[in-house]
Amino acid sequence: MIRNDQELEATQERIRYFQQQVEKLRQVETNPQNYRLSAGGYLAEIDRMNLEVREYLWLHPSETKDQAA
Amino acid sequence: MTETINQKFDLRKYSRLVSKVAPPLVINTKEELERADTEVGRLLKKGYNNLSVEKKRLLALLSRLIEDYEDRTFLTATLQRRIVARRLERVYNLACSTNQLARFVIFGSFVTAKHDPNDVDIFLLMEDAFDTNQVTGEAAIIFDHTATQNIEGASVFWIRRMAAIGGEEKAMEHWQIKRDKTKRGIVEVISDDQERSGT
Repeated sequence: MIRNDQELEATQERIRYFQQQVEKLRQVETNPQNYRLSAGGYLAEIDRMNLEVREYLWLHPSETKDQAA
Repeated sequence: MTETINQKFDLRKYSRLVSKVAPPLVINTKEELERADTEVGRLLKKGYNNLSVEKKRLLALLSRLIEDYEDRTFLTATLQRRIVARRLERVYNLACSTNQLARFVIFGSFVTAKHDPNDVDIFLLMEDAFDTNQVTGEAAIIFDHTATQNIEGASVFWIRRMAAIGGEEKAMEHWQIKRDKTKRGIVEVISDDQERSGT
């Protein structure tokens, strides 16, 4: 669970990094099965982190503070 | 913390102290443990020799209760750790069986002091010649992230060396970054016949 804006930023950076990793795999993996299996973990993690970002952004900042307290 | 106490012991005073700070019977929760631990710290801060006989006995009681709790929870944690360690060993052996494993890195809660890690997080760097089409049997499972999570209880990420962004060291360092942007420890597993410096 993302607890504050700093963690939000770190999660967004990690999502970006994972997306770059998948982009790199698209360039170097010529074999479709290798590509899907290798990218699968990163894509699953991107989905999980995006959900966390959405859940955090869904809350108003005052509610985020309430949860942290 | 056993000693012969020559000072006069006041049972009523001791009972009052116990009822104020000690748990009713044994420590059963982390909150009770923290309370007891705080009290031990508070007593020790005064210096053991400066404590009254009642407070020394209270200190002995709290120490015994803390030890008892830690003994009980450590056994449970060890069991959980052993289960996760077995999964890790299995994934490692399967990865090695491909003969294409370049580097094997463990990160996440398993390599922290956490008593009961739920799973183990692994990053595999495979040789450039690695091809999943040539992997047969059980080993094939570990290259499927979802299947490994469901069957082996491990979270595995893998790439071939050529796909490492900014080189393989950089790719490994990435797993050190925590959510609060500080760094955490990661562990690289090196087999006996490999000569490589660990992270």
